[in-house]
Amino acid sequence: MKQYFGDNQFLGVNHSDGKGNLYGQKYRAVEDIAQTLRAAWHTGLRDFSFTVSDNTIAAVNMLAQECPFRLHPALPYAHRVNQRILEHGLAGAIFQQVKSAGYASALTASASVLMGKRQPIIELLIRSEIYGLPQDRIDSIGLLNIATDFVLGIGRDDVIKDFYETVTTRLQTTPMFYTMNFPMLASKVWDRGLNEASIVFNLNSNGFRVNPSLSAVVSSIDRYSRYDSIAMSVFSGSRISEVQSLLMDNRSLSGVLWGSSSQENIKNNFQLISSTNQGKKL
Amino acid sequence: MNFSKVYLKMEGPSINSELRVVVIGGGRIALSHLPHLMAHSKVILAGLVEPNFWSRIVLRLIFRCKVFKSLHAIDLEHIDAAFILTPPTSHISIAERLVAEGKHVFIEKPLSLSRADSELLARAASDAGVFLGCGYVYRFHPIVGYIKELLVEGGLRERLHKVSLSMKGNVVSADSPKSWRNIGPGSGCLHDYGSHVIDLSIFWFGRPAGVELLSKEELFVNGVLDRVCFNLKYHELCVEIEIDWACRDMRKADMSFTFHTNSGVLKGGLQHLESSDPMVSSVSIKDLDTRVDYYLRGEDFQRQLDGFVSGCLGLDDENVLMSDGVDCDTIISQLEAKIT
Repeated sequence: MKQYFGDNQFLGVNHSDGKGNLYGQKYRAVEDIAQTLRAAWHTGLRDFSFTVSDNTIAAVNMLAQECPFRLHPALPYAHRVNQRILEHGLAGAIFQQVKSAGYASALTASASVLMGKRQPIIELLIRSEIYGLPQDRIDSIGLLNIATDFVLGIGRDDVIKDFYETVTTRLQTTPMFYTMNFPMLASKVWDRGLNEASIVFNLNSNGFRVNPSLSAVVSSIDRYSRYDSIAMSVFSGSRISEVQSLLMDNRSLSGVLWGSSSQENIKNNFQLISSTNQGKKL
Repeated sequence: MNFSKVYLKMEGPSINSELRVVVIGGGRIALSHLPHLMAHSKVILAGLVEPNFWSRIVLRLIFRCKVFKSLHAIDLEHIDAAFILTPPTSHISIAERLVAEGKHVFIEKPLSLSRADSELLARAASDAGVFLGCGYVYRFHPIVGYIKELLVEGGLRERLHKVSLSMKGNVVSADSPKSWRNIGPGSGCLHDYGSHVIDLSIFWFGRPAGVELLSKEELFVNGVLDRVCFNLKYHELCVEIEIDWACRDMRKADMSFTFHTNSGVLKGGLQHLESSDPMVSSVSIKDLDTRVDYYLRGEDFQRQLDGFVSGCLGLDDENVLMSDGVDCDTIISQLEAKIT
């Protein structure tokens, strides 16, 4: 079971303890993010999954030699999108994002859309988001749940397929879909032959934001056992023994994504999941 | 807790298996409502109304639904309900027409900018026998529901002597572009964040007996409130409310609550509630039921829609006649009178 180090704490996101804004203040400086990433690297974590933001890109570059993580950028940064829509409206926000890739590229990609081809503009949007990252370290490109679940909700399976094909063929890496609706998304992705995709979703013994229910998600993990399923929020409201039981009961999981801000917790969580990998309980 | 309580349940709801819905207004909040509506097993999105030409093009491309320039272009005979997601100044004129046609109506908060208009609309909805919902989404939040249970069934209400509620966020700054949010009628933090917090107070404690303005600040535009503090006075209880939508330190909106009881304090927000009162346990949202059929903006958003759809389809027959949306607009009107 692969372990991915997550970045919610850097963005001031905390879903259950009300510490989000505190984390946001703690990680205002790039060096603060780098410090936590160093701790993760020296504990043994090698995969870093993160929302693309200026500070995180800067921290990754700062540590490019010292801590050469395999990178799993995910986009779009919801906060930034929200601000753009607030400032420019929907049409204006899309125009601003496309424009940021340069007028020539934007024009070519827009022309492709008019001809019914969306992949060029999806590639353009992705490239503009991951610009500045060490490209040779990118191991996957993720579509964050705010975008994945939006597309899922409005029934645009074709856009899910476009993202998948753009990432696999044009960017030649692994597409990763983050979702809060795992069973619904899995049927749209893996049942439709998008087999190289990874799906990241909530799983914890409390059933906290495990939609539509813990039993439905566990059934889907089993049903899609040959695909790449990655659990997040595994620690939410759970005791250590419950986390271990959950992971041992769901052996089909291929990975766990978790984040932490303290060196001690990073070490403890890493050991806990590693021991579960070996079939041992701490 | 029965989530249908938010809505005004009137006589004779339609008994259909699906609700044909039109959405009016294609702005930012529509981007949150539309996926929930389109993913809902009992909703058929019949169309979207958006006056802006470029937005109509983008909305058609994204949602692949019929997008109309105005409500007049839609044959309302084939519509059961409408979601009015336009700026508050236009809520009443649009809603009145729909209610007169016998359509259920959901209006993003606030219901209107005047107590008189809201009262008239509520009466018209009652007369027409249609549902009238208002987007006070926080009522459907698990922590808010838990607090309501503590108040009603856990005896907390009788032991309270002071409550503080606040909502802070980073919506406006000196260089924010001008829109209906920060200029003109319906602008300012009182109609935006303020209406949410006032509604929570009504949801938890009912209609207050009085309103007292404590302080106000207009930071960027004269006459547009950016910070405001006031008290809602209940019998033997004072609810102090603080609103600030120009808080630069905040990444996103944050709500916090403090309940002073005769034996301790309950303090927290939408994610957790810490208790020093021996009669109340601390609770985190992760301890509560958060399951929904579809998640995008939060479980509260989906549950709000479920409640409205069930009510319109006659699947939930609990009658709640009190118009909390009208009460909220009444309090805002009273505060505005004190401010001016």
